[in-house]
Amino acid sequence: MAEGPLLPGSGGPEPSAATPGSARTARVRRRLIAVAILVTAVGASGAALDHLVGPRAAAGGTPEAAATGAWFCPHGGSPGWSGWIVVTNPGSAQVKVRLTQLTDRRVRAVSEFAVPPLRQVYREVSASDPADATAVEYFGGWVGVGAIIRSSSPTGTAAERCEPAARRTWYVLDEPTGPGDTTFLVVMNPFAQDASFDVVVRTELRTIAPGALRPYVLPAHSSVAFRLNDIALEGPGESTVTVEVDQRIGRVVAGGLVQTPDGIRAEAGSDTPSKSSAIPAGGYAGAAQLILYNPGQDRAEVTVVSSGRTGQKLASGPNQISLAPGEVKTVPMEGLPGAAVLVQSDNGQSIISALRLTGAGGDEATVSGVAVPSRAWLALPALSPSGGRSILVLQNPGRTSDRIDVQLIGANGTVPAPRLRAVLIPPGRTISLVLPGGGKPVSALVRATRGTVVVGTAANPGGGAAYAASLGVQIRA
Amino acid sequence: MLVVLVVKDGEQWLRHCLVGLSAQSHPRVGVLAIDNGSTDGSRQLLESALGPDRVIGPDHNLGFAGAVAQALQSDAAKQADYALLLHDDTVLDPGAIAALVEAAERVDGVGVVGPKVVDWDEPRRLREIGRSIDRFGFPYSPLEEGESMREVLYVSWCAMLVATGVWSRIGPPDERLGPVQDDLDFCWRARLSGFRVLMTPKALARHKEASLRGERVGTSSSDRWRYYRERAALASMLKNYGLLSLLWVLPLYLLQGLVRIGLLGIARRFQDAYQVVAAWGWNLAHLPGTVRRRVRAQAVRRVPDRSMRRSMAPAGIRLRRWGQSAVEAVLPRHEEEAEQLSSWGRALRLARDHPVATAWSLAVVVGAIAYHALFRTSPLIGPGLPAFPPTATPFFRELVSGLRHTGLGGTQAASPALGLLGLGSVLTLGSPPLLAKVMLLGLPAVAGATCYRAVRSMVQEMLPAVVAGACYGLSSLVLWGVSEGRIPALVFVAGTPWLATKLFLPFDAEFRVPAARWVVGAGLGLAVLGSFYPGALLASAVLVAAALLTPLPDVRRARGMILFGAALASGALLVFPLALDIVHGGGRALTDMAGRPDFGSLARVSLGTGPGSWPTGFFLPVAAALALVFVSRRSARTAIRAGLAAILGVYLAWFAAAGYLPPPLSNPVAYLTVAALGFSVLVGVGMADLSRQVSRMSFGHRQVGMAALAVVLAVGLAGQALQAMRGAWAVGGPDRIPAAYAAVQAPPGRYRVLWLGRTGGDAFPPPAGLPEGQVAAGAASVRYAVRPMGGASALDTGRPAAGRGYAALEDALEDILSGPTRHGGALLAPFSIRFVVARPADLPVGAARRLSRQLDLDPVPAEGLTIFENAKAPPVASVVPDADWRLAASRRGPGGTEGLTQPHPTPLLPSGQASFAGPPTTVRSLSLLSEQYDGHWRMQGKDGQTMLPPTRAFGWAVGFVSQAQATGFAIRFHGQTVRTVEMWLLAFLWAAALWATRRPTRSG
Repeated sequence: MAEGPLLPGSGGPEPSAATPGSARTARVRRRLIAVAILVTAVGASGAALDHLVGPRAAAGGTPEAAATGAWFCPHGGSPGWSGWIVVTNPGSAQVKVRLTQLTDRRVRAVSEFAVPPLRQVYREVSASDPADATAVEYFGGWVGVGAIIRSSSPTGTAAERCEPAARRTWYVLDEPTGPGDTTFLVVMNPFAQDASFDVVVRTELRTIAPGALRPYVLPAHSSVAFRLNDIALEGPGESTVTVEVDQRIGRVVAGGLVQTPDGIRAEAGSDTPSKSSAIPAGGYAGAAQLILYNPGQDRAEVTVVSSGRTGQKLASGPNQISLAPGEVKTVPMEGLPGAAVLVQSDNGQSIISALRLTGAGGDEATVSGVAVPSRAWLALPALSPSGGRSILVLQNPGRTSDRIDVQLIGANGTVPAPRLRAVLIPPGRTISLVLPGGGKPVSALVRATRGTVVVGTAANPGGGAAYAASLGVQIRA
Repeated sequence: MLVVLVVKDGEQWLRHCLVGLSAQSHPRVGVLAIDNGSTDGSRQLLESALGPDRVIGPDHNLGFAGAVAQALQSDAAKQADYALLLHDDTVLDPGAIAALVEAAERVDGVGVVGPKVVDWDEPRRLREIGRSIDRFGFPYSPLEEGESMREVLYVSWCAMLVATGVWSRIGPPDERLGPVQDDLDFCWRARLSGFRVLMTPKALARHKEASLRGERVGTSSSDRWRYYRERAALASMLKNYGLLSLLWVLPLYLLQGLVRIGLLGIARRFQDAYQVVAAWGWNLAHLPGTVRRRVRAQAVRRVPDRSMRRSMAPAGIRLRRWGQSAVEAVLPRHEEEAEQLSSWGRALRLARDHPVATAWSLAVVVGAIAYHALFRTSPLIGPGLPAFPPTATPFFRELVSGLRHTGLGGTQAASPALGLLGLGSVLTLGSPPLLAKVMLLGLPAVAGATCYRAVRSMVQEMLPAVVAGACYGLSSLVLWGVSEGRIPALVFVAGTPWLATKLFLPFDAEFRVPAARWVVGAGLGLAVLGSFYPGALLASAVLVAAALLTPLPDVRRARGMILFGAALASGALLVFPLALDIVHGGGRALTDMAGRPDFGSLARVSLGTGPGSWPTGFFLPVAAALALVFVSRRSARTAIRAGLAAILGVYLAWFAAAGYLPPPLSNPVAYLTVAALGFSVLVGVGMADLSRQVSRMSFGHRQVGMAALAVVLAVGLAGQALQAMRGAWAVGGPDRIPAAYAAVQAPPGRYRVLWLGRTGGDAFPPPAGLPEGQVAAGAASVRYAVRPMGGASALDTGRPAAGRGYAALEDALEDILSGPTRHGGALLAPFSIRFVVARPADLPVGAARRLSRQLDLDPVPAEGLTIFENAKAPPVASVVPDADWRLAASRRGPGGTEGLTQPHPTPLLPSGQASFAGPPTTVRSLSLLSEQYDGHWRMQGKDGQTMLPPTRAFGWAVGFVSQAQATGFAIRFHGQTVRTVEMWLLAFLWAAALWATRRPTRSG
């Protein structure tokens, strides 16, 4: 192959001193232009690659493992008490469950069982010690878990949803230590690492931070109960005792247990302050009291709206409830009887709230709320296996009507409930439905086909004077 | 005066020699000739010229010394005052003998006198004016002008006047030595015994050196001269040095000899190396004779060694000479020169006249400043710098081991690079950390040197080649490599210029190397580079692609392609276990995750932050573009090839960094190395053409272009040098390890650490090293590396992370980062991953959130690192009695692992490199080796019961499910034979390849 010019401007013999300068200059000029074009093209294409094309987006993963997770139930107990964990599988596959019972500084027992699809399973756990707690791990699908404890008194039943994860800070609001109250803060460490945390107790007038609890070291795989009566008794002018648990190292889950002459109540710890909170309360006969705490640095101005079947009413009275930074307060509700509440911070300051409810027989329950309603819920029974009267509380805090379907799940599978299809909930209303099932405890799988809803559960165990209530479990997509 | 003329087949020169003798001015000259068995007409010529009674003809060749010894027994020799030993290929000037005798008689104590020797064919060319040796017997000829008679250590006996008293005192020459440097021993003994050895320039002799040049019939070519010289030098030292001198000279001689043998081996001059060893062997075999002669020589010693050393060449003589010439170049000899040139002018002239020396000097200065903090630091620790073992033994042990002792274990073969690292460690006084430092700090200079050689072969000019080498050695890529501690990559960068020159050869018209030799040589180079840095394969492909895209005849294109393919096959064969692993691993070994998709950075061949990231790095592409304007037609092909390689390299690097290339092709480092080389070659070629044109043309655009190029290069190289001298290297001392890493404390036993970071990143913080793979999980996608607690190891050099274990690990990570599981600790437990570590800023938010959600990964408080501890992880080798572990391990499909509880393991005790001892057990247990499965493991009870084969635990690991073992048990690997066979085969292949590509021997 004859070798022609390989570069622009390189054709012909090598320039020599005899070649006219203008020809040489022209050749170099052509070469210069060509190189300049090349450089410009490369630079422009590079800029286009950087700004127009950009790096390739990472592909999403294709995970093969099934859902796994855990629920943590710091239910506590006392000698002679009984306790149960209720596990409901709303899915289509069998789920393996491992129960780990913790108590004061040790693992009490470990057991495993399977929950078939669309089944509800009760398992008895120890509730004989205030430090008793249970960790429920599930494998192969999602399940909802709740805890029920029953005292030796006929009116003593408490139910509470369990927590799905540890948080940096726990707020347990309803922990009064007035006359007749015996109150425990139950903290569990179901993890493999020792945990240390601070405990701070607040009343309307005082903040108590015991040196022995700053920090407190809780070994791995164990739990502990602090008798708050030994730390802070309510004095004159005090009607509210709240506890804050701040995690330093490791992870813990906290809850509260209150024993009164009229019964017992359990409270799951709250973790995140919010600007609003919908508390699905229902099935209670007596008064309701709202416990509020402002953990922020600015004053909070709070309004409480009572949401019942027939309408709404301002439950906080003509004036807003004002909370100074760090202040706790118990406010009697003047709302609709047996209604749910919606707590709103009017000036945007996030607060923590819980609602204390009194049943017909004087037994009490504490219910917390959620900041954001959702489309799917699992309401776990607040009954022991012996059954009673179950109430499903459906609260619509929004501005449009909700339409929901309810599927009941019992020990033997789904329970027919044709009345619970396409239930309409007007905006701002709360309805309470007595669940069928022949007095046996059932779980309710609530799906909103329109709008979003807040779900809670209430119960009268044995159809008697005992009263228990808890927030439902949100099912995330 | 008797001339002893030794003749051996010298007819073609003998006549001239005899004519010269007949023309001597000295009055009394007798000639006695010894014919050493000549087969040409030498004997007849001698007899006709001298008469039969003046010719002694032994039946066979006695050698020069033997012939002289025989001549000394004659009556004529006994009666003569002096004997002039003369070669038959030497012609004396008419006054030579007279001058020699005069010199001998003028100075007291003279035993030997030699003439000035000039070349036979070019009499103006001086060959000798007396000789000396260094301490180790190697000849040194001062060749300095302007001297008259001088005392030397020895003279050649092509023409040597010897006083009679010398023979009687020291005896005849040693007939065992010769034909090279046997005159040294004779003169040395003469000096020792008190005689002086002189050279007088008044006597002139012309010498053919026929034997040395191989022109004499019956003599071997110059192939064996190294053997003869080495033999004579060692024998002379053993005989003539005093005992005290010998005690320090001999060890030093042996040490430098070993170094020379090593260097000759590295340079594939095997025959030269063998000659040195053979000479040592000869001396050993003839030691009794040497000792006897030593006794005699020392018995007549009258002069101490220190006096002798004054006649020996000092150490560093070459360095001293260069310094003298440099001083002379800088400091003018005459005042006129001093007035004409300023000091800058003189410095520039020195640089222009001695560019290589100037470049090395500057490199030493820049390096001393740049590395001053690193010199004192030991060991060096850096993001991409793995830990080197404390001794060389682990390199060799891992090389020959049938087991992989790093990563997730298995039976993946080690890279041959470990053998080279082991040998290098031996050379660095048995200290691999020192080798690491030497390599890291020295490879940039090596890179510059190899680029210089490559460009020099293209342009045949030194200065442009030096500039090209400087551009390459100071490129942002190289500075980044040093800063990160990327030794394998730097080895590859240093070797790429050689590789490019090699690969381009078959595409050139001037390709005249035998094809087979070329294929084996190129394969050898690819094997060496690829064993350190497998990405070299990609670089070679880009280089070949650039050659193919250059316009050239189809036949050359086809030849180049075919030979390249053959070279690839040859290289693959030389590293066949590694090559097979690369293929089985899907080419993961070729991947390098360095670099970000930033075209501007890549265009200036910059891969990261730190030294080399300044915008001055643009000097390289700018200078290359400028040089491209001025390349001549003659250099057009080279310029196009280099330019194509550079542009291809930059674009490929961007697409690789941006994630558009499949993993086996994603290696920005390899592509940018090609780009850096292409730019540097363009600079060299263009500069060479431009300088030729500038010198011939009147002032115009070329001069302007040259000036512009000079400015760009000066600014750019100065900027790069300044970055280097700032010394802000990422590599440093133990303080480079984050203090928070101290929180990674595990219970007794061997555990692993999983390092995570965002994709598109480079090395992890020390001691983690480079990433091994990536996991796609959308916004939570990460790169990862699995390391022992001590961090990355140099034993993993060139070895990919591949196998079922890594696939299983990536599946587990995918589940954790994008799936619904919250039991990530259980998923990671079978891998013995005790800790998950990341730099907080380097971990994607989504991944951090996912990890925090895991119920069985406990956060460890640590400032500066995000650390999770996995309490479910058992040691790498352990007995786990827990039933759920036993059941989960035996499950064939995925799943079941997430439910693992915290085990109660007992570590297995290592007993050797490939075996473990297990404790007595009381229940049915799982013995788990968190190593990639291989069926050659066996479990055996202490009582010698049946050997149990392994199961594939968790789908990828080695497990044994056994009943209770009351007396304990042992687990052993029985697959070493395969690796041993592989190693022998590799040794044979490498030996054959090195022999096939050996360099011809050098004389002198």
